[in-house]
Amino acid sequence: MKTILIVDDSISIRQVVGMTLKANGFTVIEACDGKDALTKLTGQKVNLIISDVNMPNMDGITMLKAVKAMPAYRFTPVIMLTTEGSDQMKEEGKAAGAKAWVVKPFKPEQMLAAVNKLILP
Amino acid sequence: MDMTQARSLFIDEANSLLADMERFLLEIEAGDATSAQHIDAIFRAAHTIKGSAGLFGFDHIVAFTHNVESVLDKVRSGQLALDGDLINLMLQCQDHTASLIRQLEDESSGIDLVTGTALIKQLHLYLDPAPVVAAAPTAVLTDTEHWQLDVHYGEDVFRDGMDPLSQLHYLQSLGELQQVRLLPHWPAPAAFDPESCYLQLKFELASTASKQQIADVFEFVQDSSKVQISPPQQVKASLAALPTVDEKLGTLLVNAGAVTERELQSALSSQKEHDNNQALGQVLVDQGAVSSEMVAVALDKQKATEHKRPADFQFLKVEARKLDELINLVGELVTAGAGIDVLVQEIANEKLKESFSVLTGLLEQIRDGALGLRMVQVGESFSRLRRIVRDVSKELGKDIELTVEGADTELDKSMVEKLSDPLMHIVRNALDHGIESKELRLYKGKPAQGQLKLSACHEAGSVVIEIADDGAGLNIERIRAKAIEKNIISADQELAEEDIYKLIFAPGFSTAAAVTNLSGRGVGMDVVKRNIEELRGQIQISSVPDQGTVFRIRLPLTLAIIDGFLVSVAGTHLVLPLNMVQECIEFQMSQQDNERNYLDLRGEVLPFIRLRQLFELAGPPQNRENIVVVQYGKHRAGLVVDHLHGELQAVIKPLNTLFRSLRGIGGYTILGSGNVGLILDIPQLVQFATTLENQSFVH
Amino acid sequence: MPLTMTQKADFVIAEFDTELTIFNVREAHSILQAGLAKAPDRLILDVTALQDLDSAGLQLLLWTLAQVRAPAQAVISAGDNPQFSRVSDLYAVQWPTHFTSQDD
Repeated sequence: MKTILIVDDSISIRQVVGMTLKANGFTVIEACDGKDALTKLTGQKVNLIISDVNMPNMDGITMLKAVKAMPAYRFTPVIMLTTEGSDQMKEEGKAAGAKAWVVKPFKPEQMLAAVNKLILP
Repeated sequence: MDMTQARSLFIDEANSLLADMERFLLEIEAGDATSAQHIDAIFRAAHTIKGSAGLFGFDHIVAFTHNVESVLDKVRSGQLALDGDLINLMLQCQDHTASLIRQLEDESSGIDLVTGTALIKQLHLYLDPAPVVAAAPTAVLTDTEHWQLDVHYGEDVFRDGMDPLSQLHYLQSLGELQQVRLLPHWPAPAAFDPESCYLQLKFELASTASKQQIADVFEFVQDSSKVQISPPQQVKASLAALPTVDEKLGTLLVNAGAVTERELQSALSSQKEHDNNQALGQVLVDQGAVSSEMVAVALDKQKATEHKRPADFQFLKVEARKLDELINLVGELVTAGAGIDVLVQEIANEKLKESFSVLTGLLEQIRDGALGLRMVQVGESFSRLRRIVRDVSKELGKDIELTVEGADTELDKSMVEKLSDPLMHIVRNALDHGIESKELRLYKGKPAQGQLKLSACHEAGSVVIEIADDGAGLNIERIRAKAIEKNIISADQELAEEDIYKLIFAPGFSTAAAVTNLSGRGVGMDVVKRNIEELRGQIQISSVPDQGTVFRIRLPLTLAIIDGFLVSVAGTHLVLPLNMVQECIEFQMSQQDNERNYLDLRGEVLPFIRLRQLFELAGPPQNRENIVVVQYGKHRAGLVVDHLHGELQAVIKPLNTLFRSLRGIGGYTILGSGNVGLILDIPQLVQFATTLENQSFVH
Repeated sequence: MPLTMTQKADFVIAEFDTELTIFNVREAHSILQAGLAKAPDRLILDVTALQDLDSAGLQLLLWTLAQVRAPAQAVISAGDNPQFSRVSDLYAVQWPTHFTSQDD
C-alpha cells in the first residue's frame, strides 16, 4: 500500500484529492501547510508528496527544500500544485526537487493520472 | 472552360448526394428511420456518383464507389443487414468519397490511397465473406504498425523520484504493451552509480490514443530524458481523413496525433534559433518526431485547405422555396409601403414625409437585395449547351466551334431554368439547319469549321441573349413558300423580311426539308417563342444569306417587381416599366398630323398610340393630354395618356388566364390606393405603333 | 541492511530484505561489491522476500548479473514472489534461474 502526503491549506482540495486517491487504493495523509507537513513526515513512510506552493506558516518551496534534505525522503517524488501561467513558480519548484506538477484548477482524474505516472499503485 | 464548369456541376451534384447519404445513414443509425426507408436513396447516391465520375473519367472514384455500391446493393437485396458496423464503414466511405471529390477541385493534392485501400479491404469483407476473414474489420487495424516508443532515460531520473515502471504501468491503461525491450547502457564498472539511471526502454504500444496522450505519460521525465514516439500507419490515415480546415502544418500534425505540442514548439524554436529556411516539416523529421511520409500527407492536406478556403465562403446554398417566400414578402412590403405613401401624401406632414422617405429608400434596397439573391449566372445554361453542341456536331459530322460571351451575366433563377429549353432548341436548329456541312462550307469559300456564338449582356434594363451562327442564313423564299404551303399565309400576302423570319415561329412550321434525328421532333419554334413570351421576353431574328443567322432574345431582368411609371387614362390606372420610359411631353392637337398617328419629336418621326382608343376606354379626350415616349430595342413610340402620376414600385401579378389574350397588357399590380393598375406590355405596344405608322405611311 | 551475503559451499547467496529501491541501492551496491570482490563461482540473488522493488532496484539486479563473468554464473531465486514478478513482467525481463551444468 502506497502512502501519499497532501499538503494544501484548502480543506476542499485535500478532501477531493484525498477521496480520489483513497478510492484508488492509496493511503492518504493530510497536512494544512509546510510546517504541518514536516511534522507529519517524521517517522512515516511516504511514497509521494503532493504540495501546494502558497500556504501560511511555511510555503511549499521552503518545505520542499527541507524534505529533500531528509535522507528518508530525498528521492520521494513530489507533485507541485502550480497556477496557470506561473512558469517561475514551476521553475522554483523544479529547482527545489519537485519534478512533477499539476496546474490548478485541476480535475480529480488529472491528479490521479499524475500520481499514476509517478508511482505504482 | 466547358469542362471546368461541367466538373463543378459534377462536384456540386456529388457533394449534395454525399450529404444525403450522410444524413440518411445518420438517421438510420439514430433509429429515426429504417434501413428499408433509405437504402434505395443511399444506394442511388453511390450509384450516381460512380456513374457521373465515369463520365468524366475519374476512374479512381469509379473504382472506389463501385465497391461501396456493391455492398449497398447487397443491403438492398436483403443479403446484408445495415448494422452499426456497416453504417460506420459507410460513413467512412462517404467521408473518403468526399475527400476524393475535394481532390478534384485541387488537383495538386494527393489522393489518399491509404484510407481508400483500407476501406476497400473492409468493404470486401462484406462482399466475399470467407470464414477466415470474418473477424477481419479489426484485423485490418492490427495489420498496421503500432506506436513505436524509444525512451532513453536520463541519469537523474531515479534521483528525481521518477520510476519508469509507473510509466509502463500507466501506458497499459492506454493500450497494449508489446515487444518491451529493456536496454541498459552500462558504464565502466568503476563509474557505476546505483542511483543513476542507465536504462533505455524500447517498446510498441497498440493504442488508439493520440500522440499527445502518449507523450503526456512522460511529461515529468521529458526534461531529463529523450522520448521518441513514432506514430503508427493508421495515424497517417487519420491525418488524411481529418476534416479540411484552415490550419498550419504543425497544427495539422498535432491534431492528427502525429506530433505533440511540445515537439512542435521545439521544432519551431529550433527553426528560429538557427534562423534557417528549413521547412518545419523537415525539422520535425530531423528531430525524429515524425516520418517524412507523414509530413507529405499533412502537406497535401494543407494544400487542400489553402485552395478550399475561399470557395467555402463564396456560396451559401439556400432552399429556393425560402427565397421565393422572402421575395413574396418583399413584394407585399412594397405594396404596403405604397399604401402608406398615399396616406403620407394626404396627411402632408413634413416630418412624417421625411422619415417615410428614408423608409422608402431602405425598402428599395431590400427589394433590390432580395431580387439580387435570385440572380444566377446565365453561364450555367450555356455550359449545358456545350455538351449538346459537341454531341450534335459529332452526329452530324460537322465541325463546329462554340464560343461563349458574357456567361457571368446574371438573370433571375426562374428565368434561367425556363430558358434552358428554348435555348437548347434554337441551338439545335442552328446546328442542324443553320450551319452547313463541311463540304458545302468549303465550296462556298467559308472555313470548314462552323462558328456558333452564345452571348449574354445587359441592355437598357433587360438581358439580351444572342445565338449567332455563321451558317447559310434563313432562306426567305423557302420560308415563304413553306408558309403558303402550310396555309400560314396566303399566296398574295406581301411581307417585310423581318416578318417572313417570324413565320418560322408560327405553329406547325418547320424549315428543314427532312426532319433530322435531332431537331424538329414535334416541338416547333412556336413553342420557343411562347416560352420566351411567357417570360415577358421577345425574340427577334436577323439573317444574312450565307453569312448566318442571329436569334436575339430580350428578357426582363426579373419577373417579380419593377420600377414603374404610373399614368391614367379615363380614370384607369396604367403602369409602364420605368426603364422603358424615355420622356414625357405635353400633347397638343396641333402636333398631330390629322389622321396620321405620328408626330414630330424634334425632327424625328414618332409614331404614337391613343391608349383611350386602343383600350376602348369611355369618356371624351381631355383637353390637355400627355405623351409618354417609350423605347423598346431600337424602336420608339409615344403613348397618349390623360394624367401623369409619377414613379412607383409595382409588384407584378400575372393576369388571369381569362385576360391573357389581351394585347398590350402584361399584368397587373395593386396600387398604394388599393386600386388595380394595369401593367402595359411596352414591347407589344411599340411594335403595334410602328406597324400602324408604317401602314399609315403606305396609304 | 538491504541484503545479507552468505557463503555456502561454492555458492554465494545474496539474500535481499523487503526493500530494494532508490533509497537503499547505494548501500546494497556496496554490500554486493564487497561480496563479489571474492569472485564467487556461483551467485544466487535471492529476492523471495522483496516486497518493494523499483526500477533502481531492478537496475542494480541487472548490473550485478552483468558483472558476473563467465565461467562464473549468477541466478535469481524469486520463489513465488508476486511483487517481483509484476516488475519483471512489466519490463519483460527474463532472469536466469538455473545454473547451467559445467559439464555441458
